[in-house]
Amino acid sequence: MRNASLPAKRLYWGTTTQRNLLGVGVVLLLLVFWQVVATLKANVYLPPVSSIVVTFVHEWFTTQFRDQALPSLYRMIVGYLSACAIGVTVGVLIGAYKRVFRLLDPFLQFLRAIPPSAIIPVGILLIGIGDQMKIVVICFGAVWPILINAADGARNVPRERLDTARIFGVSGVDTLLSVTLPSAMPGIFAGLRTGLSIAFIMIVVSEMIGSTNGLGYYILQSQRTFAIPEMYGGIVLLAILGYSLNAGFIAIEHRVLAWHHGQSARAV
Amino acid sequence: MNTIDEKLLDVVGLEKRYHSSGTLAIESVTLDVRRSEFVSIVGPSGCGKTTLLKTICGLLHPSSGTVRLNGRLIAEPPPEMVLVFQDYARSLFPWLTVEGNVAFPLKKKNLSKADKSKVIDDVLRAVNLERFAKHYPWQLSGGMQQRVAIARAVAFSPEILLLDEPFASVDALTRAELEDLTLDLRDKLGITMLLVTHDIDEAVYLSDRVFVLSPPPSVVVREFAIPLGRARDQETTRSDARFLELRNEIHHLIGRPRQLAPEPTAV
Amino acid sequence: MVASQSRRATVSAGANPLLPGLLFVLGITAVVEVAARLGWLTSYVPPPSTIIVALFVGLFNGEISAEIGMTLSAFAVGLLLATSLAIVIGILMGAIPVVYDGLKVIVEFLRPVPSVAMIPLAILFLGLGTQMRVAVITYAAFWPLLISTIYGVRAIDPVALDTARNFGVPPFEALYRVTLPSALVNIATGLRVSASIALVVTVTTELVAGNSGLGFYVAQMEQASRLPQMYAAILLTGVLGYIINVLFSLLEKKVVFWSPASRGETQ
Repeated sequence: MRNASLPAKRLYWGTTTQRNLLGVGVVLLLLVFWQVVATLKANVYLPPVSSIVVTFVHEWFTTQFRDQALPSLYRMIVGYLSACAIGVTVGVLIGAYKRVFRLLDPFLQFLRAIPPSAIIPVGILLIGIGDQMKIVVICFGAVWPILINAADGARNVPRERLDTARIFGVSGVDTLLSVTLPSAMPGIFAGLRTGLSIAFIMIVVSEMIGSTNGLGYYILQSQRTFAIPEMYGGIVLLAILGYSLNAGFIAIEHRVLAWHHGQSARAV
Repeated sequence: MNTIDEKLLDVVGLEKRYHSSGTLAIESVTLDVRRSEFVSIVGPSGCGKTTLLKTICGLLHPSSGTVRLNGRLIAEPPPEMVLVFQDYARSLFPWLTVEGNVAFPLKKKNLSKADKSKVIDDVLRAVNLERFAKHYPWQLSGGMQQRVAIARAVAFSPEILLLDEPFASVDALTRAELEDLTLDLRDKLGITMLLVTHDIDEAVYLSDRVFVLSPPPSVVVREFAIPLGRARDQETTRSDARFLELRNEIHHLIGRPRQLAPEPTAV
Repeated sequence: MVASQSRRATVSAGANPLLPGLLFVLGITAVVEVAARLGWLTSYVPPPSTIIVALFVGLFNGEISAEIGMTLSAFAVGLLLATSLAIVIGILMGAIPVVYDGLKVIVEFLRPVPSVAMIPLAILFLGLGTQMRVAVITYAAFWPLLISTIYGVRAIDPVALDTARNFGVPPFEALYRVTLPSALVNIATGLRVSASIALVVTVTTELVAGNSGLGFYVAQMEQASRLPQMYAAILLTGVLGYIINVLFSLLEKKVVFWSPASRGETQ
């Protein structure tokens, strides 16, 4: 019992508020430091925080959000959701049938190993530089972790669960939907999470390489035209979007996988 | 009544050899279970008891021999028969509540919503879990989880339950409780029971007949009738002289595996 | 034990588990070859045989092999920098609560920024050379390793630490004799994730703003319409990705063979 109280002491100090304040305080302190250094040194590449904030508000609270951020979000969401649909469906099917898995595994492992941005030039050749190309390459990048995790999850369903379904006369698609899919869900979500960050990388890259609008285009263009505060502002917006998407994802995961988290918490 | 009609389950010369390794798990098992009887199969650890049950219920195909239920050959798990696994943590669906798990076998039954919830209420009451319908299995103790698994099996309204060491993963008190619950279900619902266990006391306590299995490749070594009557009680039955005598006899038989040669009179 | 035995059994049972998969790859390649030769595909998909030829020609005349060297060296330097930084900061954050709480907000905010968004910033300060790419690679590979190191240090079994304390092991020694070995499992997993991310980011930065490396070569070949060369380079990035993944997975297995997770999760 004495031992059990020790890790609590080791992991926490002060109240929750104090601990959160420290984190925020450090960030504020860094920003103040940045502001002071930038003002004193007057380096073009390092504009003061204040000017980044002013530019940020000026850019993103006006038409730029509609012109740059919305196209990016649209491409990303369509690309990512199609990757989710394809990855989960194909992955579960492949995982559920051992022969299909053995047949396709080496091929899929190899496709997954290709850094997804390397296929952007192929996408440009075959589809051009429109929205479609971006959606396709985002989907291509995000689909592999989803597909492979779904296949692994579907492959490792405990025998007893599948037998239980058979005993109760449930088979085929019914078993896939009511037993295999939920069993694979924890794995699928791990893949969905990796897929989401890859999709985010892919939208930025594809817009940097072949686009006339979007956040990736905006940031790179700002740097090339030495619109430095705009470039920083774009990165900050990406950070905010990335953070929000991640937070949204975690919220959904907590809902869908509540049973899994509850079960693991018990097991430990 | 003729004897053939009495046999609900009839296993003849069942042999099971694994495809992948070629190991012979079951050499030849012949046994039968009569309607509303409680029959146990006991044997040393690793004697292929689980394989035997899986083959009987149609999850595995026998290499030779036949399994008949109500006179019909079994190829796929039949609707009149349910297998309850030892490992409830694996067989229950952790993403479904107790209620959801119990409703699972009703999927294919085309019941109305009202009928469905009546079945769920009834079986949960039968295992004293009506208060836990909205809980998840992993929020319950081991014994309660196994009761959920039994309730789910009963909800399918089978004629016979196959129980694969269902009480092996719970503590002794819970075990006694589950044993009596199973007897109770047999009496109230008239479900026939075929139990596999390595616990000789449990087998004798619960059963009308006990089949003793040899180490693999398994054969039935002997069949014991347990003339202890229908009503059993953890205290009086277990201290009954005939109980102790039978239990010792089976212990003696299993304790010396080398003598477990099949006797011609056994089967 | 049981799991490893059964795995061995299944491996030896099948003639060659990889064979059908390899045949499938060959089959797909053959179909594309025929389709391309017959002119059924767009001219942007050359026959695979020309890609293979381009690959070997490029490898032998040094055109592609030089780029592989550039890519791998940027990858290695970036990953090495990221690893050292992440392990040091990760241990500090994991072991000292004040450091953890102080840096928590920055980490939470910077981690979701897609690393490639930092490319323009890196170009600004470091130009278009190798330094810029190494900086972006380091940034990208840093986060997964940092998170898993923190997690590993924080998840350390307090009993192990107490045991060390009882044996009079001073805190700093406990850090590298107890904390680090325990956290090594997580660090190895983080390293594998970081390595594959590092390769993706290496190729990406070369593609977006490089002056050497495989990514740069792909972009150049696209512009020059030397498509077999372009596809050959893409193929190579896949081969590199595959090799790197296999190598770091092996490393991870070597490190974690004793951990409970690796023993429990197999089946």
